[in-house]
Amino acid sequence: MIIAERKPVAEILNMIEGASTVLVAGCATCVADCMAGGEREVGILASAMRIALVREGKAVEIIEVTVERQCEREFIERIRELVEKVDVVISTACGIGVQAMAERYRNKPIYPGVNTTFLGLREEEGLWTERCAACGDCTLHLTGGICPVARCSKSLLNGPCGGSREGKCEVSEEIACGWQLIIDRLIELGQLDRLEANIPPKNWATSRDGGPRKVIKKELRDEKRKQS
Amino acid sequence: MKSGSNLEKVLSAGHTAVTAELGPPMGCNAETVRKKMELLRGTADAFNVTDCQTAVVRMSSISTSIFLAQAGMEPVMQMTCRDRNRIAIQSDILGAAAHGIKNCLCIAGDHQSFGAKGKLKGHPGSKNVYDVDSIQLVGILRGLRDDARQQGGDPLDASVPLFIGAAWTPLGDPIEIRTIRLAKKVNAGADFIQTQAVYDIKRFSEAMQKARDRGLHERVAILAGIIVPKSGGMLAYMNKSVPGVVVPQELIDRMKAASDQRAEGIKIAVELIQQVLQIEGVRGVHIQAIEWEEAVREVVGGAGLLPRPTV
Amino acid sequence: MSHIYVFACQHRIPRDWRPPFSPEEINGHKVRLIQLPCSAKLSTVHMLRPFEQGIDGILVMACSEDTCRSLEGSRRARMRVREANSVLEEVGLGDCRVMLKQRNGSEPAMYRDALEELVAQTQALGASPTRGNNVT
Ligand code: SF4
Ligand code: SF4
Repeated sequence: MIIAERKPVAEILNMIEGASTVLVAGCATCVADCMAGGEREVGILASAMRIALVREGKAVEIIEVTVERQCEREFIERIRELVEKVDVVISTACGIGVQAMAERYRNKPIYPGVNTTFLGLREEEGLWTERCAACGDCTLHLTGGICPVARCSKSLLNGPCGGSREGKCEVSEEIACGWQLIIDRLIELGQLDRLEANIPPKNWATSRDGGPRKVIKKELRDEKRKQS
Repeated sequence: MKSGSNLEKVLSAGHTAVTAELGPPMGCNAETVRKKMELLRGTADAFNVTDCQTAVVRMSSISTSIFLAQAGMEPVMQMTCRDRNRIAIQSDILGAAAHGIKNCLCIAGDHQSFGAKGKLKGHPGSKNVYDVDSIQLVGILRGLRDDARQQGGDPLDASVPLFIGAAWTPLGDPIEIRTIRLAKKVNAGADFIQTQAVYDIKRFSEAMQKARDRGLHERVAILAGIIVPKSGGMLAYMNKSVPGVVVPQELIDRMKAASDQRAEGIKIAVELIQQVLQIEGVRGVHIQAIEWEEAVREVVGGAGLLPRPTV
Repeated sequence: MSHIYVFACQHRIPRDWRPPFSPEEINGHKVRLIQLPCSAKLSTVHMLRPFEQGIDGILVMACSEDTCRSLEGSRRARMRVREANSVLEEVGLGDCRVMLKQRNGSEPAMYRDALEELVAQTQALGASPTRGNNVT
């Protein structure tokens, strides 16, 4: 899922400077799972904003709402009335949700309430870690189901650099060396020989340098029907 | 001859090769470079010019290498994958070659977070590139040379004379991969290898045995890395903190017990050189005397490797 | 006079304090006692909202973690108290206006001591900066 972190209250208050009504709009999917922008966090953020605003002696009305998924038009359409009523919307959805809202509500400033950080999973209670960099050309079958693009600090594709030490990455004791994980797993699977082949320079055209990406599923495209 | 570099000639004439390291200054003072050059002149067949090592901004490896080339000292230009994508890398290589630079060492480069690990601030918030890794970089250089072709497939007007180097950390973790990594570098087209610092002769010999089992020593010239120790504390630190460096306890104790640690360090370096050169498949040494360039002449001389051959 | 909310697990409330007989004042402090079926029911936002109205502090009375009847309840309460304090600190109210006591008893004395401790703590921070925002 998409992992995010709530922005500091002070930063959010800066964004809404001058507004007298603000809608804090959450999303009940990924950002709720990572406890950054779901209904619970919308409540916390809204309350924190109110407390801070009272302290500053400002009268701002903060309204709360949470939709099932902000990245889907049908869901964000349902809050139209609220959105239209306020001066500014703080969306605590991921960057996709914020943009979906901005596309839908063209005349309304939609600001981000979270920092969208990565694609990952909940590893332990209160700990989320990165798993995929959405490179667009998945090679997990070659690397024991562990991603070198996302989990090696240098995204190396042909094996570890010289900085790996006792399972840790040269960047920090806190970071597991992605390549150590890959090699351990390949040894367990009896597939270490998969690393013998030289991997040529990656075609990042499916990632950064092809411009914004698109996935088209032709079967599902009905060119005649205008999307609304 | 692939490149006609002095290093290549020394090796193909069957001599023991010597390379030494020169770190560019944190500034634009050409005088500092020239001073270091004079300390090192004549001590090695070629001189590695580091590329913003430990991710600290320094005079560029290319321009420093040009100073060396102009002064008749052969550079081994280091090139990291950290700061350039394949477009910049190839363009820089073409420029360097036009300036007469013939040796290039392909490395991943220390992560940008390193710059802030010591006393300096560095640029830990910079965005790294890693468009290609060091093994892919070796392959790209081979393409420029052997096929006169860029990685993307476009032709060059002429092939680029390059002697291609790569690094090897034989005792690095995960140890199971290290021989495979060396093989991949050789398969990608590496002509020479400079290893991480060797202090544990026994374990290094074992790693060399594994390389020989695959016949790699016949396909690539392996130069063993020698870091001249300055003190017992430095040895202990490297053993504990530098990935892939293993220092036997006797060596640390011996260094600590010495009354003149620097003299002892030079002595140890000389002995290490003599020992690694006994190992089958070791074709030379790569000497690093970090911020202590004066030591190199004594070490190389002490090992009986001076004067350097003219080929 | 400090204004304190008390959230208490039903098992930790003195028998004669149970609603509708909850005290409105303890040791001269204005209190509002809110009974919870278990401290697990206490959400972070429950602890923040009263501060919008200008209260001075919150006391949370939970069971000790190994005797919590819903097993994880008291442990969760501990984490949420931590979260509430960190949000309060972020908005300038200090990091110790919410106090958690995990105990097995339910004597009024336990409340008095805890309240004194909490009030001393919050008074050291000064009056709640949201005070006056129509405390109800
Ligand atoms: S290889 Fe690419 S798509 Fe596959 S997990 Fe890694 S980043 Fe994601
Ligand atoms: S230490 Fe491991 S994870 Fe870190 S950069 Fe090197 S190979 Fe990648």
